[in-house]
Amino acid sequence: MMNKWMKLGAALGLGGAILAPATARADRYYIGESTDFTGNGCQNDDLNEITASLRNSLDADSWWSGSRYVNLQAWPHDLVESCSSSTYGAGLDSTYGDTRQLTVYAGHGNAGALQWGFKRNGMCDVDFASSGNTAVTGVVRLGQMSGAGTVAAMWLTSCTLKRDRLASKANFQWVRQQFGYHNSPSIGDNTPSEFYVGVWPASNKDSWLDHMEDKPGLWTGDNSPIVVSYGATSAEASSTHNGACLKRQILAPRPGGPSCGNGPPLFFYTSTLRDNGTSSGCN
Amino acid sequence: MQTFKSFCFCVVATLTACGQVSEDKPASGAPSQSDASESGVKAASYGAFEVSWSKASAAQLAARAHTVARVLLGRDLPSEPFVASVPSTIPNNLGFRTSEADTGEALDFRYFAEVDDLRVSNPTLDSDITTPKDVGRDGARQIFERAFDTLAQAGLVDKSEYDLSTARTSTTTTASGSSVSEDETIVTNSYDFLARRTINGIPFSNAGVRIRVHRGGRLTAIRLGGAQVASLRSESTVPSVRTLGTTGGRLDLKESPTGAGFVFEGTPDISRLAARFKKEFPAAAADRSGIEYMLPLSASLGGANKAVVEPLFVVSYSTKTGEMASRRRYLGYSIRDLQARPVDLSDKAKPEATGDVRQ
Repeated sequence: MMNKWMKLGAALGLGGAILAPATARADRYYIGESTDFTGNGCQNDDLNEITASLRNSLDADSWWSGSRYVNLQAWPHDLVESCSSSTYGAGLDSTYGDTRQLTVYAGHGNAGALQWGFKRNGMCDVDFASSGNTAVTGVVRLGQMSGAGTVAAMWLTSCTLKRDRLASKANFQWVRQQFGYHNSPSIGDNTPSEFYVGVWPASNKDSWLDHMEDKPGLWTGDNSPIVVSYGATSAEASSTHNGACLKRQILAPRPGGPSCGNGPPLFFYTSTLRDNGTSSGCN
Repeated sequence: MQTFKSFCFCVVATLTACGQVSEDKPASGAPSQSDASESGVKAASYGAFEVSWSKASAAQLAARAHTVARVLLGRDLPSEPFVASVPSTIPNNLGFRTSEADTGEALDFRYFAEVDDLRVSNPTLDSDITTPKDVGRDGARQIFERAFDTLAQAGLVDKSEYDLSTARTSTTTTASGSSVSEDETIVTNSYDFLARRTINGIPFSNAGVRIRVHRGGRLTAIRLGGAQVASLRSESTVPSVRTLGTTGGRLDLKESPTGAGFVFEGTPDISRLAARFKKEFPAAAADRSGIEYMLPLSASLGGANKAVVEPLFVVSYSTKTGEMASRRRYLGYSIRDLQARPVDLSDKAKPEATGDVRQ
């Protein structure tokens, strides 16, 4: 029997996806961020800090709270699937990254891959599909297996959602939406916060595309933001794509995900790309 | 690790994308050339300009939003919903939506007051991929140019500040498919046009107009605003206000700096700077480069509302370290002093950032 929130979800075209009204504060986000990439075993360019103001904006709404780990406190293992260390690596996602509805990582990356700034237990990177050496590169399986709590994932990194690599990489995540980039983006200190604030009156998708292309006051047209949405049917994927709104409702985790060690069952996806080109550094 | 010149108020140079300004070719309409430089390429006169941002008043913003909405929808609209939606004290980040009852179709508005950046979109049309008609890129460009003219006639943009022939075109596309089929459907939602303000033919990345044309030919979004440039304009030559360099004399910049701006001699020969970048940043993968005006990203918001911006040879790039690509960075090389260290135009790195402590 449908409860009133499921009825509301049905009315909005989101099926039974709505878990609850966005009212009661609870630990609903996990944020990891790396800005220090010098001399910590995971070399790359140091970065500006872009999730502090995002967290403040989330916390300003009464239904959000959560954790934000930065630099030495940010561990790649937090996103690595924990159901099988031999298959995925020494994961902690059932304690951290896959226990919250919104999972965010800010740092460097590539297609279906993320890089942290501090090496921990030999690991700097994770991959969204597979790894030839899980001690060095862990494997991510959000929204499924152990944890299975992530509904939406935000990748503030280079190329992680490169469109022509979605099928072989990012689509292994069993979430309802992923937000990211098709190329190497420049992201302002407050831009992720502006995306979240913009999710009213806009949808997640529209706000992401409009706010993440260029920061306010800048007209480079360099960034290529992309949103991918999923569902058990094409209609569900499309409804989530055009209707989901982090500020209005909290969606339930995507049901029917694969069990440990298995690949995903049938799913449908819809992605929208504001295509200002890709970057030569994207694989 | 490469160190950068710390930012002072002067900014920049750059390149444009889409091959409109290549590393081998100065921007069209580039400054006049005068004496010969060391390399044998003639030096040119450039302007460094004072720029500022002015926050719109509530009445100004309501009127601007009303006008943009009329252009977007192509029909007359009542002004009352816009007046009612704009508070008397405008926050830095203001958003509102007009109802279908008020404007026929719901429209989303976002205004960033500190940088005078107004964005208006039609969310329903933006998401539409079912309209069978597709006007195509060329058709969309004509619609974009007509919309730009309409904005100019309404006094929202100054046509003389733009060169639409250099406007960049991109697309917004939607792909749909399933895990069991390799068949993927990709539909063009819109053709997107970006016109940056130009100063003597050189693009300025802190002011511009962005217009999206839906596949069916209607406008789905307009974004406009940014910094204002302190200048004098003339069809004939005008004397410089302040002159750097050794030649002095009259200059023939069509747009001359006023206020704290000044004129200087620089090189339009950016091949040396491009080669220098490649040598100094061998791991960098440059996406575009060229001469442009661009304020450091960390200076675009917040702080003082005035700055002096100087054209630089700007490189937009990411660094490849192993298999990982860095987020985008911007670096500006002086065209006035070829030996100067480059200016890091990227957002300021904060390696000392901290967050929660694990329990």
